[in-house]
Amino acid sequence: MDTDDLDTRIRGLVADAVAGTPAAPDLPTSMPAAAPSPRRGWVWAGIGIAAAAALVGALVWTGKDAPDGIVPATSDSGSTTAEPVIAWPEGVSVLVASERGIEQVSSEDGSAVVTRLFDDTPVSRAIMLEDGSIVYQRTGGDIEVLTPALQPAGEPLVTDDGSGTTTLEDADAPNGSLRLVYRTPSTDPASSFQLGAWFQPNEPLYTSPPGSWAVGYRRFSIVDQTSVIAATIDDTGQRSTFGFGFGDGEQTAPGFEAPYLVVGNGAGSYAVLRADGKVEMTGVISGVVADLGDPTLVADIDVRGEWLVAQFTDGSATLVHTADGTEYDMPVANGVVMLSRYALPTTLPTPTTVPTTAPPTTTLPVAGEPAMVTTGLNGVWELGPDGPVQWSTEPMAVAVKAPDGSMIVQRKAGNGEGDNWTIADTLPLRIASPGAEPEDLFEQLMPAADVVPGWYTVHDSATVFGRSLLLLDRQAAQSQGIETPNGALLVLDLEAGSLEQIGSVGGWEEGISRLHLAENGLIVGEWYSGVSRGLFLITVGGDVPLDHTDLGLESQYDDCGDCPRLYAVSRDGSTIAWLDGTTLVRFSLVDSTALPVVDLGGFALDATDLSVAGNVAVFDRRYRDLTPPVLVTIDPNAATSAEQVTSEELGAATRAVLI
Amino acid sequence: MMTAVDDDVALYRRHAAELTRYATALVGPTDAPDVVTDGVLAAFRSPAWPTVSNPRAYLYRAVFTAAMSAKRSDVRRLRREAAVATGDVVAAHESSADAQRALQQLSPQQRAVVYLTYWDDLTPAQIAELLDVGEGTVRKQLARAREQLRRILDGH
Repeated sequence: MDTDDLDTRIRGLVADAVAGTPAAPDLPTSMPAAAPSPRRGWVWAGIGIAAAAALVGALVWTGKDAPDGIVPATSDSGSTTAEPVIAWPEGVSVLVASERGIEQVSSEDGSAVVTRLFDDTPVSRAIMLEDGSIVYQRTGGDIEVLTPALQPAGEPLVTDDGSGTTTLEDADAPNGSLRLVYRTPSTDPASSFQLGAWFQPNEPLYTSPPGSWAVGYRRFSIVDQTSVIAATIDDTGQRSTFGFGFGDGEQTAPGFEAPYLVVGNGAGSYAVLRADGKVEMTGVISGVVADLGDPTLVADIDVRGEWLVAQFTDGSATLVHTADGTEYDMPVANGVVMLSRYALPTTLPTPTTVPTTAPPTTTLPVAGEPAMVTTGLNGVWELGPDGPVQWSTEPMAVAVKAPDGSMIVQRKAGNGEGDNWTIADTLPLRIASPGAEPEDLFEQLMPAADVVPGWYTVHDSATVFGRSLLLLDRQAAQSQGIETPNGALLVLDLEAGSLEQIGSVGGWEEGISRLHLAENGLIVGEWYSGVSRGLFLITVGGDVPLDHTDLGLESQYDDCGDCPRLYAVSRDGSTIAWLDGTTLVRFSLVDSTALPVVDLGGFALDATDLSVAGNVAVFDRRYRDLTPPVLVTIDPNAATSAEQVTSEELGAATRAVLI
Repeated sequence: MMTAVDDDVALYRRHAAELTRYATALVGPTDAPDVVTDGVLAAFRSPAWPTVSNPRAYLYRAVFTAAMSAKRSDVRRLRREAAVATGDVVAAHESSADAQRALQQLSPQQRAVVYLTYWDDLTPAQIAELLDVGEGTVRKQLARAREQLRRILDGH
């Protein structure tokens, strides 16, 4: 469907949708005013209308100083409907479990939006997992799961024994594996409680020891793959910490001094609420990250990534961006608040303009978005801080952003012999501006006679020593079998139109991965020859400054399924990265040091391409028409872990490169 | 002598049809009258109302806010279900049901932008002014909505 067709059909759709518009309602003729207006003399009786409005479970709340911090936008509180609402950071979502059910607080254009996801029954705790499903517990009841579509997902995970004393403590699902910790009454009369775990369903994770009746345990939370922790207080008022590892059976009890709360972040760190009200992180992340005031007024905290949510005994709650201390008031109160487990933004907030009806000095933080180009069935998109821009509605095999701002694309790439496409399908095309028609790049730049027929693959484009270059290769038909010549690795000067061969690649049963071109001339990728492969590293002009030994790599790997692969260099040439199994390895060329490795989890096994920039990496994956790329942000303070980020545009794409 | 109330009544009458149509695009025909009523009344009794420089835009925003609230209304849900059960609604709007279902797959913000673009033929700049949001926000919402609708219309 082309753009005109789409517009026509949407226009028809909208016309159909409003065809059944009812008659405009009459307004009440006289009502007493809830609040006197200096200009208007409306007197609102308000019986039907105000009552109806007060019953509305408002999605948008205004006025953080209103009673209990909650003012329905259409209630009779005197708040206005059209004023902007409480600021909320983009990409951060929390679930609030309460008598009302489950509400989700998220951001829409920098403002808090409250969506009620589940209102059939009171809920005591709800946690959104990495895949968008929700683990929750009906108050005094079973622990169940809702799918991302908010449908019940089969039988309850844990069935309460009828006593109503089972409690959901914590849950997450890193790498797709559910970790669920819950507390149940102990079957041992000498013990007060047992902890159960979804990953250890046949026996208790932990049974409290005799005498533990005298000890109160606050919420148990997951610290990492093998340990759980809780703050305790005994009947003499002594506060301590109880933690244990379940992987090796050894108990561990970190020596925090009289903590009010100790909560794991699921990724190897503890958040400790100290007596002075400060929250100190220990572990992979360290340092004081928040000041919550009187610790006796803090009911619970939850931490994930750079975000902390604190729940207070008066029913209010606060979200804190621990990286810079920014606080956000929770727009709903009187509930149990938990951060969603999916990747939360780790970039620092970026100020942006607020709606003009807001106080002019206020700014709404939004998460920055790494710039990238995506291709897929949804066409070619450029994603960046200014939002998504569609360059083409046509699915392309390759798209790279040229230094002059145009987009270089290919409908097909590489050798298509045996496929139903031709050499001509692989010619590079240039799209001058979003929505413009793709034009033959070679035709624009050089005489037709200079264009050598062959199977072309565009790899990358960058400004190298002042020259705007396109990196591509050309392969010959493989009809000569083992006599087939190697292909040519080329750089095309996008201004001068000159095409220069800088190397020989490919050939009979040989090939290269997508190559990455850095602004310092480095070209990094992977070569293949039969069952062998290794690091491909050359430069555009000049000497190669390092080789595989500098990176701790072998010269080649033979018939190896989990050897290093997917080599890439960042655009600025500062970092070379690759995958080793499921580990992302990075090497700084600035100071010739290895950066901390990052465990990516199982998705990396399907990765087919890697693009890296700073603390961000993007992976294409196998089954390209079915599997969207994965954007990973790497916390430099916790560099042994990473968070996967998803977005609407990325989810619709099948290939992405950082620009 | 014209009073402020008269002014408001006249203003509402002038925009009632378009606001109701806008609400229909946002929440469907069943809830549209309630949403318009809630939004307009809330606007009129707002302390900010006397100083509003563009009342029509303010009413659009008020209706939008009311539309978002309406999604959460158990009262309206029950009323809607009761009406459906007694056959009072839907039949009259059968022809628009598919279109409503398609629009309901968009976010409220996307529905608003799509309606204002394709029904009122407003430019992103005009929509931005009307809804009091950034023009970039409008363009982003419109682009996302178009892609979503493309998939829906293609049957994916």
